[in-house]
Amino acid sequence: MADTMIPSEEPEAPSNRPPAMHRLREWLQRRYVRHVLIITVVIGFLLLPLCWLLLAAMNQSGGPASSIMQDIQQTIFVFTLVSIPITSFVFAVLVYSLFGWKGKSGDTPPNNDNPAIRTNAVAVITWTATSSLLAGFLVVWGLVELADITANSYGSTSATGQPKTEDALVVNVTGQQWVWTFQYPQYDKVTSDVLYLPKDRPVLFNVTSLDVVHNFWAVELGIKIDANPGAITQTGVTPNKVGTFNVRCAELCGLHHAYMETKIEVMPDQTFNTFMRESGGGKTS
Amino acid sequence: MTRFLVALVSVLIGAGVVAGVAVFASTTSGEPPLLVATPTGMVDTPDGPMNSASLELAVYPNNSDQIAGPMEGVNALYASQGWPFYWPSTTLQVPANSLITMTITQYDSGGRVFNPYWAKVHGTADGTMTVNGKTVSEWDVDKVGHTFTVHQYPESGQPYFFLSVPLPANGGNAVGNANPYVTDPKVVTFTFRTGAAGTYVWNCEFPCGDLYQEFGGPMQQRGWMSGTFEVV
Repeated sequence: MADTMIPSEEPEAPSNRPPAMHRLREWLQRRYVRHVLIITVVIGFLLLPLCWLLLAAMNQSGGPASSIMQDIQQTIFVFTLVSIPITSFVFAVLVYSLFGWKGKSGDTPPNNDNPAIRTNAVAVITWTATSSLLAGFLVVWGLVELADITANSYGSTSATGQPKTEDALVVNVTGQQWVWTFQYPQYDKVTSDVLYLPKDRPVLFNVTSLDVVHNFWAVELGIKIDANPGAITQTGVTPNKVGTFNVRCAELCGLHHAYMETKIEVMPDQTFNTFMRESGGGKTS
Repeated sequence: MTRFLVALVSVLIGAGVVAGVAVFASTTSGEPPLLVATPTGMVDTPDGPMNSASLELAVYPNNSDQIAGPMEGVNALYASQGWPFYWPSTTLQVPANSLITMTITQYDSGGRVFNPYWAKVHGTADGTMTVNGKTVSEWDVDKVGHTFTVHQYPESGQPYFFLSVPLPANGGNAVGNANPYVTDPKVVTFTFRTGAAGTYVWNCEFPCGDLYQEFGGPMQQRGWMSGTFEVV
């Protein structure tokens, strides 16, 4: 308590200050600084498992099932990791402010505060530089990852809307209240309410809606795009894991929006071709 | 002590507001009473004997003196709107691991269904249905009245279940005030198997409501063209 009280009536920055490092050492030796730093470290270690818990929660349904989703998860992991020291410090100050500086009943509040931090050049420069470095890191990381994800997810050439490779599978996705249907134009327009995909083969999705705006979200594949009535939007992905995953609608679209989900079945390419033939899709083009 | 009482009263008022909203939402939700499928004994199937049950529904173009239509909760407010509805309930229950035969009597008119996928039969035991005794696997996309489409969300952990049958449209020329419904409705019958227990939703995929793209009104209010489908 005592180190928070300044017995002067006019808070002023002292003149003839000692060197910065000396002041830093002196500052670090103060009780409340030590306590805040200790609480920061404790909270930081408590929050650290959050990075892995987030990934575990996201992967409960079997993902990631594409390189896009792996990139997204890596970004979430790094951003969470970077934010933990800042979050910990903010909470440490909050906790110490609540309990360390708590006055007792009958205490007289202090007449004045410590000198304003804006006059402390070291603190201002440190704070500004650290914030700028962190923000710059997040911006650069985000832009690089976004470019990578966009390159992988946009499964067609932007000028023509055609698939990037001859091998690509085209799926026409239709959303309507409150069911998805998937048509395979290269397989005699076989249509299904379940999204069947081959592993390790690029897929181009032509997405549209027959009524209101929906959002086609292939959760474990990491792609998500609006389904607009009267328009076709495109996205793409290359599934890299066999399994059962989920399609959801990510745009509030009416009464049964919460139930507008279906399955994704990713299977080996040969199994997929056999399945399509058995479903009446013998005429590949 | 005063602070404690103020805090306690505040918490009680908050809990009361939440409870009031819950009671209001529950009493006005408009969920019709449960309609349970009638057991019809054991039947032989290629996989051995199986329980069976039947369920009968009808689809009317609007309410009348003969058929009141949905009147539960907030639905009573819409009674004068002339909306189509399933009857006698949209809250359905069928037994698990059974062969269910459903009969839907369709009195409404119709038109072209937006998505031809809904003009086909999906998920019945043999991929077909009967319309007035005639077996078909799909219907003319320009003459669909409604659909009965059951679906779910796969993350629920229950068995995947998908069923959809088109209900053929009727002409409306025989309809008048004295006789509000056609006298020769389309009677659609189909059979499907249920798996383990689960709760699903169903709705009509033919846009038969009002407002934008005819997906308003009865398409957006439980008790008319949508409901729950419980397998127990």
